[in-house]
Amino acid sequence: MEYCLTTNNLCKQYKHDKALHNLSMHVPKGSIYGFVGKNGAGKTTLIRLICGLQRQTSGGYTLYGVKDTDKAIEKVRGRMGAIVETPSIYPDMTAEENLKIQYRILGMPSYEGIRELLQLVGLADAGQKKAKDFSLGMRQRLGIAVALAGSPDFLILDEPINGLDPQGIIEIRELILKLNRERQITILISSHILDELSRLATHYGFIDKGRIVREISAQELEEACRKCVRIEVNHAGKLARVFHERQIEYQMLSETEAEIYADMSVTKLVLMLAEEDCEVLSCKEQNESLESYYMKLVGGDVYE
Amino acid sequence: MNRLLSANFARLWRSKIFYGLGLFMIGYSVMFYRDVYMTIHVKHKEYTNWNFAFFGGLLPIGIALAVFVSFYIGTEYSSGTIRNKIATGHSRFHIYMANLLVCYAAAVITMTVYCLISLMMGVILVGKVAISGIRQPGWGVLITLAIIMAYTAALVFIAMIDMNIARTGIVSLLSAMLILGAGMLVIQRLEMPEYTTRMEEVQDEYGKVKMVEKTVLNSNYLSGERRRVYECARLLLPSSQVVEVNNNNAEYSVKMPLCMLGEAFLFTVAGIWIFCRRDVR
Repeated sequence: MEYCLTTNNLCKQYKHDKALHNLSMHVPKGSIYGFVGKNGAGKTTLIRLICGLQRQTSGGYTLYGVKDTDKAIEKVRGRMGAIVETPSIYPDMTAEENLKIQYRILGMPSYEGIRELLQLVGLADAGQKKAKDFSLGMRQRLGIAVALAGSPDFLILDEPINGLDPQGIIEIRELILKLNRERQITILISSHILDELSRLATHYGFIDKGRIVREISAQELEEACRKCVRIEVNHAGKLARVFHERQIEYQMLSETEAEIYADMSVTKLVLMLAEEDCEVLSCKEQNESLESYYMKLVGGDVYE
Repeated sequence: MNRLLSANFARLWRSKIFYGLGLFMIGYSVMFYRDVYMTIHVKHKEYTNWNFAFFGGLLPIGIALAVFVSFYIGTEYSSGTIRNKIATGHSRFHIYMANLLVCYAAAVITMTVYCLISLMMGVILVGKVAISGIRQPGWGVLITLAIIMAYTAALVFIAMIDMNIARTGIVSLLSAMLILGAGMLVIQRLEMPEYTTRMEEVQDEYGKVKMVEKTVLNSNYLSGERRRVYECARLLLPSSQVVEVNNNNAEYSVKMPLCMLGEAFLFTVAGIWIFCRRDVR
């Protein structure tokens, strides 16, 4: 597998606080890499190191095969777009002016493509409104537009949906998926909002206390998560007898509810219970979520 | 670095603070020439210090630049755009130098505007080109450019090593005011005469008391080691050089611009060294 970014035993120490501890991770090319961890786990610190904002205490990383110690790393960073913590935009400029400045910073020969970029992020109608008057969602989208100027191959988004309203979250999600599918941009997205991340990521890296606890693809995660059917009946005793006799794995949740860990059709299940005069009141397929997987992996409170 | 300079200049032309700086200097020049006009045409007195009339704008330039530089560079930190420059592969050395050069250009443009307005005001209000009284005008311009460089380098140093825009603003402004005050004090002390006159009561041969003016040694006169320290401060403080440039009788020396350029160089080297090593948040 080709990797866009690999880190090798990265360590970062702030005076007495160790933010990263031998962190090793691998971001495959073309993936949406969900970087999951609590607040203070080290997500932003890692992003800052990769962006060259800070220097690691020990260890190293390679970006598109170029080592961080190599002089060419600065050039390779030109293939990267990033939003670290907050969008990098000038508040007293309009969306278009901000993009024009970014085009100059990148040394683009003309302003061609600015309209398309604004359209892509849904800011084509922002007009002469200054960025300081933008809503949080608009600012976030402008930040993404700025990061996308120069057509990067690798986009780093640090907590891009923090503080957004539901509509804003949906828009950013759609945009990220569009960028990955239509432009084949590799995206590293850090978040502690797991439900949202589970709708996007093709790969996950779980970080806790400055270490990568596990790296897993979305497919592997799906396989690892146990599926079950939650069923509500009028008589739990009859249900237990039926499942016990047929050796079906189950777990009683209450007097009327149970979870069944078996791959079976709902029709078959209902008919089986009907034979014993047990009425099915409701039936719902349940997936072990990313959240519960994460909780098992690192424990603690997800939303600290 | 060309790309950074291009972006920084594009930002400069859109900067309200930059135009505010220009307007402040124009206002200062207009007010100054109003006073000159009143002295000559209303009070009917002679006005001689034409150096001061022309280069007087240098006096508040340190304070005006402190406001401009702290806002211009502080915004880069507060808006996170400096992170963007680093993340897109620009070296920290280039980022520092581009900011320094643009701030210097802004200061030179502002001072040029001040001088042009001063020339205009001189012709309109005083009826002549006010620069005509200046001794060695070439030196004046050269030292002015060097003083502006020293001020800019010191203020860019403060702004680039501190990521907090409010703190940068306060520290820059206080530093500029302190430097101005110190410079004026140094010149004032150095220009104290060695001897001064004092009125003393003296009894004549008839026992009558009368007041007599006596020349005595000035106790505030600086001599020896202390004078050498003050002389050194006169060369090192941009504000004391500003007062010198404004003085009609000043003797210019090559040491003056060299000291300013040396200071600018040291501030820049130290600033780059710190900026290249520090963590940017």
